[in-house]
Amino acid sequence: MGHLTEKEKLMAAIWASVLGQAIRSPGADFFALGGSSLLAMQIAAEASNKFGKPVSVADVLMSSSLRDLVSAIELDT
Amino acid sequence: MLDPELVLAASVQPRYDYSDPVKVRLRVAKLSAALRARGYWSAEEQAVSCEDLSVARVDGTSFAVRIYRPNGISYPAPAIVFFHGGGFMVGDLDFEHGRCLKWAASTPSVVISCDYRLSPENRYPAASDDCYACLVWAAHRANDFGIDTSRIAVAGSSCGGGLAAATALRTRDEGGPTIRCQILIYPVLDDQMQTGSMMAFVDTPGWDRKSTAHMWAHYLPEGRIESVPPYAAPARANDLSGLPRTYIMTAEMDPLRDEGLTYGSRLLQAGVPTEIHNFSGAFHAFDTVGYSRLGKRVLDEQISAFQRAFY
Repeated sequence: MGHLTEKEKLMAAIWASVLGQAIRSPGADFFALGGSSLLAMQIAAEASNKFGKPVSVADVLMSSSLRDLVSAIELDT
Repeated sequence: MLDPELVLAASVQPRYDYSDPVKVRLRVAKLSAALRARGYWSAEEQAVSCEDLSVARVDGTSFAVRIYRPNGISYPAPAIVFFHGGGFMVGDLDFEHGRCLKWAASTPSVVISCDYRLSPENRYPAASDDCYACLVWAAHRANDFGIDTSRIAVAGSSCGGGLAAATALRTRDEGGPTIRCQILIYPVLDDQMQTGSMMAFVDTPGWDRKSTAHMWAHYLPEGRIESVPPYAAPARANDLSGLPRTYIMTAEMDPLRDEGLTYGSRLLQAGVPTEIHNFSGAFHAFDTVGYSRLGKRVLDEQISAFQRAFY
């Protein structure tokens, strides 16, 4: 999957703090890492702050990967 | 003031723009399908068998239903005919799959979820007709599914609550299948949009006045109509007597709150056994926020409302 972009690194740090484990791949899968609806909400709230755009719990739950979530946020202007 | 448990959830609810309902529909469908495909409900699915079937309309077209049968239930069993939310514009059989699984396993009962037609492509009476047809079909096929026809409930959330209320009115008026109870979860009932809560909640999580205006504009027939029929907006019904026992749930910070409370109060005045519970500090669809103690309490109460009617 290659390296993380700057934006993906920002998101990876959020995931790492919420999920309690290091995130190194842009293909990281929220559900495979033990994600739940509560953790998705925490990620959405933190991402809204850090990215300066509204990120909903639905955005997090429907993304297939870290990269997918970041592109969804970047596309949704 | 929001319940402290709901503050985080409220801050990250998706804000949908229903001026373009098809766009919202695709987005919501993508989420529901992703959750189901990725095993979000797999624990609940262990306890319930699901089957998608097709129901024929009189004109030869058909709509889909999903039947939920909990393991170990004894037949003939009570049944819940369920109509999902989504403002008449959004939603499918996956949209409230989680709620149906929980209700089926916990009450326990056979749940029949109806994939009624959506607006604006199909305006009133399409959805309402499909919902009534679903009830008639469930009662007609009762033997095939082990359903006890004396214990059939109609239920729905949001616009689905309105569709359930309309179905109860229609089966009363037409002498259709007997309904044991109606369970209306923050129902959509009144197109007039004049209540205090509808005036106040213009920008609330989950649902607001603006979404309500789009909903009615997309759902009601185009052009001027003499009067809005009760099967489109049950608050328009003049007579609520003879309806089945009722449980209505509302949320404090929901523009739909007052129409639910008023409908419940009118049911009581018409002699219908009715329970009304408004949850303070809650927003529309707050009970789908699964992790909260409040969400658990709400689900338990919904289950209990069915059980009191069925068992």
